[in-house]
Amino acid sequence: MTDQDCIRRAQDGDERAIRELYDRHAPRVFAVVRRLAGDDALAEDWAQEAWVRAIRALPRFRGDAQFSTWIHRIAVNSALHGKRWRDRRTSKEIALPVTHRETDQQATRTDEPMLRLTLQRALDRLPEGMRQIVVLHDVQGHTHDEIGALLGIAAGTSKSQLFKARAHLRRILRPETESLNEEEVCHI
Amino acid sequence: MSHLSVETIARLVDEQPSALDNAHLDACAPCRAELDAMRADVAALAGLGDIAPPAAAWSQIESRLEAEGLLTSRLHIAPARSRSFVVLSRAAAIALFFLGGTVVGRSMKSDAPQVAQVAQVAQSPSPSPSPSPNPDARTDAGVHAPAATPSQSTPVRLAASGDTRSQQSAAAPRSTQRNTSTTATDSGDPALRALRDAEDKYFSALSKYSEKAGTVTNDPTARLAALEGIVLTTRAALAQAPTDPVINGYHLTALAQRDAMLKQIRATPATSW
Repeated sequence: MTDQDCIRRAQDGDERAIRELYDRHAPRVFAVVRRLAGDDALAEDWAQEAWVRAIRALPRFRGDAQFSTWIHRIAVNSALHGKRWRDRRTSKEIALPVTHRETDQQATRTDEPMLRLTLQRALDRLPEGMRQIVVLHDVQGHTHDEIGALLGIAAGTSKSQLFKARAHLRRILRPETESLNEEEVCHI
Repeated sequence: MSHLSVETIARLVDEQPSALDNAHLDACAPCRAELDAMRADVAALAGLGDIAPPAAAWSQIESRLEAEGLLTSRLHIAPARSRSFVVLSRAAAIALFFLGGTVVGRSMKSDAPQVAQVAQVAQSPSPSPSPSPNPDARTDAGVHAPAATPSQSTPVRLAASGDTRSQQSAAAPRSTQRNTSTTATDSGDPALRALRDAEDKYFSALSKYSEKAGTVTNDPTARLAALEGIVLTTRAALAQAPTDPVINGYHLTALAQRDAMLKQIRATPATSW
């Protein structure tokens, strides 16, 4: 059964189809929410919010974008709105550009579990603002314009924050990077 | 001349270097190496894959959807998949039960203390085929995961054959060995004998590896990484064979163990995430 079939059935009230959509897309939704949250418990809450919100809005899903893109938008919005979002009973979706990188279209994947965990732990240790930008840009593939729109900052700010965040991440991953600083004389 | 700043190197991952930057990079091996390493980090971030949600996540979502009236009944939402999932999980549990029974049967023949232990457990009223002392290591479908923890990796002698096995290592494929109440006996089935021979070789190799690996196998992060790898592998296998009871069983076990490991790591202050 394709996603389109699933969606059509789910929109008609087929609850098995809803579960099928969840099974197919839950790992991707949880991944983005978990990385933005930096915390398992928070991620579980936000992923739950994202799915409840998505299923609530499912009758209005017209198929203009892929379901994976649509649910990704909702997941990112849920994570960025965080706890504040939970208090609302109804709210509009913030339109996200649809140019984010689909995970299954990535040329390379970080399949080595230890490297995945190391990176995840390093991401968790980044300050929240830096983590959001690194996740949205380097993991999810959003542009600085898109990130600026999402976070309410200028694209240039997103870019400069990204470079600082990468440097911070590098220091977390390899503390010896500290020794490579501009104060050190480079013999060239 | 000073090295390039880390922020500058981070910028050069995305942007073309200026002539000045190029001149520096051409002459400075450490900065070139740092740029290469930063590029590798960014590429690895882009390749981070999906993360399986906790096994109990759907039931929580389901409860909320029911409360909002978006789902009419828990019995409606899950039957096609969950009911078959439960059936398959039970089938997987039975398979594990059988495997464990063969092990226990052999152990009972030759290891008196082990027999006493098994007999004691056999009197337990628990109906579950592989009850786990760790309540966290239980999945939605009722399949118990082995409750091995890194601290359990002290090798123990299980059988008269003399092979020394790690409880941790032996836990997954032989999750029922300490709990089953059956007394499986040797049969003349050539397939069963071949299976036992293969198990012996496997556990012998595992034991040798465990001895050589030493404390490395006790690293919770390494174990979590390994479990995550198993979850990914079994999930990919399920995409190919969604109704295979053995794969379902391993997937559920790996999920439960991974979740339990995550909780253990989170509860350990020294490994703060």
